[in-house]
Amino acid sequence: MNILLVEDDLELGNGVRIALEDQGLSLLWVRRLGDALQALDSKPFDLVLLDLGLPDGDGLTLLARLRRDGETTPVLILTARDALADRLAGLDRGADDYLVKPFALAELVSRVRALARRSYGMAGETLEVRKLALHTATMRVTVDGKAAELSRSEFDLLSLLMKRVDRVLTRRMLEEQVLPGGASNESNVLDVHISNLRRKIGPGYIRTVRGVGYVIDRQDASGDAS
Amino acid sequence: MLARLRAVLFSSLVGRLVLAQMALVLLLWVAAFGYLVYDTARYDEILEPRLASPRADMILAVVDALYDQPDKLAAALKRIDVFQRRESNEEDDPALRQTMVVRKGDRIIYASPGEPGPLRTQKLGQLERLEVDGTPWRTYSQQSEVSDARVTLIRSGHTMKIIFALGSRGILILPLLISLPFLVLPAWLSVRVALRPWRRFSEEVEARSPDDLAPLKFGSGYRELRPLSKAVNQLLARVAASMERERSFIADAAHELRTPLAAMRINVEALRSHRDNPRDQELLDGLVRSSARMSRLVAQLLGLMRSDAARAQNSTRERLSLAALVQERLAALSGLARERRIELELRAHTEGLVDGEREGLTSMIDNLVENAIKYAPAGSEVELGLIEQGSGVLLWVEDTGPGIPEDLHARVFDRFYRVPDQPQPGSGLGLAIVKAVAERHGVTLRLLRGADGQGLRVELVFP
Repeated sequence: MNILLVEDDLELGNGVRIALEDQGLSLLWVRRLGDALQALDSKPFDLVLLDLGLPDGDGLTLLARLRRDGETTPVLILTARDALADRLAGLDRGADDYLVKPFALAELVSRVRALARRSYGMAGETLEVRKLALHTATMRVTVDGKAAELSRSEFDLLSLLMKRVDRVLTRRMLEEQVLPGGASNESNVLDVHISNLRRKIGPGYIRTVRGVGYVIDRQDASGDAS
Repeated sequence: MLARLRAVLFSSLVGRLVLAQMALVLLLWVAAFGYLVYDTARYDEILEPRLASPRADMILAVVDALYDQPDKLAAALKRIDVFQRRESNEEDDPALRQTMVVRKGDRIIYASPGEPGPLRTQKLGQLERLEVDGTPWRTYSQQSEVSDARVTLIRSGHTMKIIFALGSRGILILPLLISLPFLVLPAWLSVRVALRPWRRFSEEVEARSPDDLAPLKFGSGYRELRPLSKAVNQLLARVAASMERERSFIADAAHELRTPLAAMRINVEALRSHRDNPRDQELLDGLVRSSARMSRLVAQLLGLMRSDAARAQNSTRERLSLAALVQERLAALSGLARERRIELELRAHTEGLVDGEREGLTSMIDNLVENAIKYAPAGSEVELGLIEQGSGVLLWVEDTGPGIPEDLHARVFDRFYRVPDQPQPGSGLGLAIVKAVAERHGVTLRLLRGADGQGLRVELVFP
């Protein structure tokens, strides 16, 4: 996997380079906008990590150029600007995700893997959490190697949760994405789907955050409600 | 007493103006009085030919008509004389009363009793001044056109005596004494009404909240207030500019801190994965934790500055659902909760539609939930709820942590204040941010004990 890191800060750039290389990812680190454009012209990348405040220009211009050229390379913005307006500006211009400095290494790695997988696995990826595996192309779900029969809504729900492993997805968001007719406060259709899903894939995968939403944790933590 | 009265009158603009008006009235009255003295000294109106001539004609007509009946004539003249003395209610004052002498040829047929007695006058048809034994008199004489009858009207020639006599009866002083109180009240009222813009101007200044530095609206419409309102506005503008500089300095500084913080953290974490020695790892974990604390402090400082800026700029509001926002924030913070083995729960009984700044409310909810997660014991639950209350919405956050002693409730909202003797690291900015956002949204903030008298329950009532 090829990652382009555009970051002008010496220590941060170097730290990110070493940390990601430790994870077995190959990475090219440039410190200027001009160098980044040159690198993008010379070979394809699976992911761009982009700092916004660069000495020779704004990272957003690189993003804009990338998208204008029809490039679908995922872009993860790394920035010190955390105001909502700034975040929206980045996402509006076609960034795929956003990480506000300072960030934890684990967070960076998990976002990088998620985005890189997306760029990689267009043909059909396999999401795995513990003994649960989901094949996007074939819409097959296996638990410990045994196939589980899921309805379309159940499959959509599970794939949303598995794509964003470790992140709680709100009821509202799940209802809007999965249920026909969108979110409705009164209905418990979502709960019914989740309970069916739990019955089919087994307990211990989908964790409830009461009143908030659901999450699939990469590691099972004992003592948590399942 | 007098000093106090003076202080009251002179230290108040209304007092000064009323005093000035009263002084003016007094001055006018003195001038009028002076003119009266001068005028009285110059001539006696009653004996001016214009008024005295018809009077003399009337008396002479009576004399001519009763020419042959001396008894009747004497009685008639006496009655006229009494009438004349009473005419201006002055019969008892020799200085004021008017007397008369009537002659036929050289024979006196009637003379008023008392001074000055029968005077001999020379001039006819005009005012004449005479002196009898050093006393001045003024007279007017007229001759009948059909007989030898002649009448002489007499009044005192002492100008000062007349004035003092009038004064002693209050004719001159009384109107002033009576009218002054009636003048003071309308004067005071009118001055107050005229000064109303001034009061409204001070009311506007008074009603200002300390962080509202927009120019004053009132006062520029009045020429007298304009310099003051301009000066105040200039001061406000300077204060606003200096606050803006301070804010942007802190915001810039916080911003600049983030990149090195990120570098520090990523380097330490990368190093940690290279170390197997548990003691090394422990030390590096300490580094990661302090860098995380510092990051949080920087984020809060930025949040607070942004919140101040939002307040100063009256940033845009939108209609948003508290239920959706709280759900979203809890989802975002559930990682932190899981790390500390805290279970989050939201009981949303209403959608909670409010007008607010998304950013401010987000940081308010984040700070409350982060605090709850931080202080709640591991394995416990943090509960949030949303319910309609009256016409508003009640949002609560409840944990089972140590709570906040009641006597510190007022202080915990101060910036950088931290409850003493607590193991949890923190900046003391979280609740300050919560308070700032709450105030901006007209939200009532309450700190209570948790359900079993344990922990902390924060209640926010949205209007």
